[in-house]
Amino acid sequence: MQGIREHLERNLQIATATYTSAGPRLLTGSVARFDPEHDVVLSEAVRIAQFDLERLTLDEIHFSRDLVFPIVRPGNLNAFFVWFVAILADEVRLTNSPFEPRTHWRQLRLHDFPPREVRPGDDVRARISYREELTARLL
Amino acid sequence: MTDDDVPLLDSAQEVLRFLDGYFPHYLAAASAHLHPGRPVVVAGGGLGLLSLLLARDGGFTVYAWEPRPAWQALARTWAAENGVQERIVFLPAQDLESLHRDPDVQAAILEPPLISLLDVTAWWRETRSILEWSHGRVFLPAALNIRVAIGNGRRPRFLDEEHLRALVAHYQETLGVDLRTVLNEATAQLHPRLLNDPPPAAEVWSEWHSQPLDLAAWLAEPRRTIHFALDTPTDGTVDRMFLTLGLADTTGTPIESSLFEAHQRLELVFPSAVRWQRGNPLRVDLELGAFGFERYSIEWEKPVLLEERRGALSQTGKSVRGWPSAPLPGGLEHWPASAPRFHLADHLAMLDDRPRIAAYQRALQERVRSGQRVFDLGAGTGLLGLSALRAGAAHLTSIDRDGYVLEIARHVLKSSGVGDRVELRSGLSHTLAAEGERADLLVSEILGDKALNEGVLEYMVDARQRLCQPGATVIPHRLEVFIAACQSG
Repeated sequence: MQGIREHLERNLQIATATYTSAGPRLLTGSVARFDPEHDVVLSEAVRIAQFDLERLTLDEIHFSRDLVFPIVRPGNLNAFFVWFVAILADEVRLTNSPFEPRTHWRQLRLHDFPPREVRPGDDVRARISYREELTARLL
Repeated sequence: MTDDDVPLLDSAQEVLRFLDGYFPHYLAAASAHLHPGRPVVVAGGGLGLLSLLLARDGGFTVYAWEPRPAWQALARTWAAENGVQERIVFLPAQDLESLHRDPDVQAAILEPPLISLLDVTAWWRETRSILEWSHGRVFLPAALNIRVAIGNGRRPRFLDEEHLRALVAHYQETLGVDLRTVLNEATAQLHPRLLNDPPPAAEVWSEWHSQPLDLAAWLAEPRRTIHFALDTPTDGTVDRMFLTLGLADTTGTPIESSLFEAHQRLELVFPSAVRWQRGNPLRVDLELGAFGFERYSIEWEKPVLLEERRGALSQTGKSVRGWPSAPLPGGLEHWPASAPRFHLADHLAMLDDRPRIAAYQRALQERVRSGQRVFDLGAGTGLLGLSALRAGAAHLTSIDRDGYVLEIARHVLKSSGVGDRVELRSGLSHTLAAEGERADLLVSEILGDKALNEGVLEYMVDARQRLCQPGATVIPHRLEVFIAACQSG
């Protein structure tokens, strides 16, 4: 069985490398808690979407839009973190933002792409879409 | 590969970690009992390892059925690397019926992860066409070994005492709700569903007894009862039955598979604890049907004491009966396979989220007008609905897809003295008919970690449009989603 395991591991590496060297691709999403000890925000926060829940209709829910992320800190870009802000009343908001007091919610982390060195002044572009779930594609 | 296949690479790594004993056993059994000159079908091929072994080391021609393109692509790559691409034919994921049947196919070999005694529906849907294509001949696994034992366990603890005290005090102070009483009451009723949470410490009292279930025969005639005769070495009290599944080959020899067995352990909690003395053998009947394991009954030779969960011995009897899961509230006889999974621990995490509770309570106090009708979408444990009533609402309709957590909500609302102003509905809101008086205010907390998962937008828009007055107040009334580029890890 040892030979089989090595065989599998080698081929998984090949398959993964082949896959990650392809062109614009969908980023894998998973739930993770932003950890300020190990995670660094490199760009300005960009608003993906805003929904007025007292007027929104079903055919206005899905979207696909291209966003620009102005880089403000040097680093190795290898993930995007996504969070929500829910406005409950005029002065009442609830969020799972990594910059606000912690809640039971974690964040959506979009990752699994070749890391990219970025510096302040760079612009990173990505296409963010929502159908059944939120997805991102680096442009 | 396509974009949709990306997560499968992670799954592949997962399989790699579980790589275990059934591969060589399957190969050895096939080599001993099948003719290398005639083809076999491998269903649920996954990474294609079993097909590769059968073709490369066993000399078989293999029809491989793996509907996921990414895994099939990997399997093709490895077949080519090993020079056996000519001996592995990949079947299409669908429409097998239209494909010419190879009359020489001698057996279908099922990958263990496909098999489930609890959800035969899904398994049958996946494999029926394969079995038909291979003329209904199942070779491996030839049988499932069903093992049962009885014993007892203790209720799982979700929070340490200190934390629970603080949480209870918080709810007493902010809502006047005795959370401990409510949760104790609820968990006593909901105990069977808690088995989906990490298993509690449990102790097996009887010996394990095993019965084989011939797979081909079962698939041909699903409805049957399997009998077990058990005894216990000591006096004692038991409150549950343990059930595991194993794989066996045509000779009855167990096939080791940690991948399979890790997902095939059940604890079935009796409706009553049972106290008896040694020398009182019992008979266990497991009833299987077209949808898998349907119910169990246990009968002792002599009377036993049946102990209600609250403590006092209440009656003598000779039998207990139950289902793999407890009956649904509302009198439904069986827990459907598609029923949502109840996780009390998840709800406790939400209850323990002070910013969340405080924000909703404040918003309800500000936005609810006296006499309004409120619709609580995704009611959970009922505390948002209770807050709405405390803020002046006249009537509350609450819906949750999980009938069990709705029972907690029922206790919360009833014990808070507002039960007569509440209507509780189990199910998904989009299936509710728009009838009766519409709500003036919609409140919902079905927000998820992924910002837009749990269908928050779709459910809220549908409920507002169909079940609420035009111009109804909505909480939350706006949802924004943000993103930032990061260096992670």
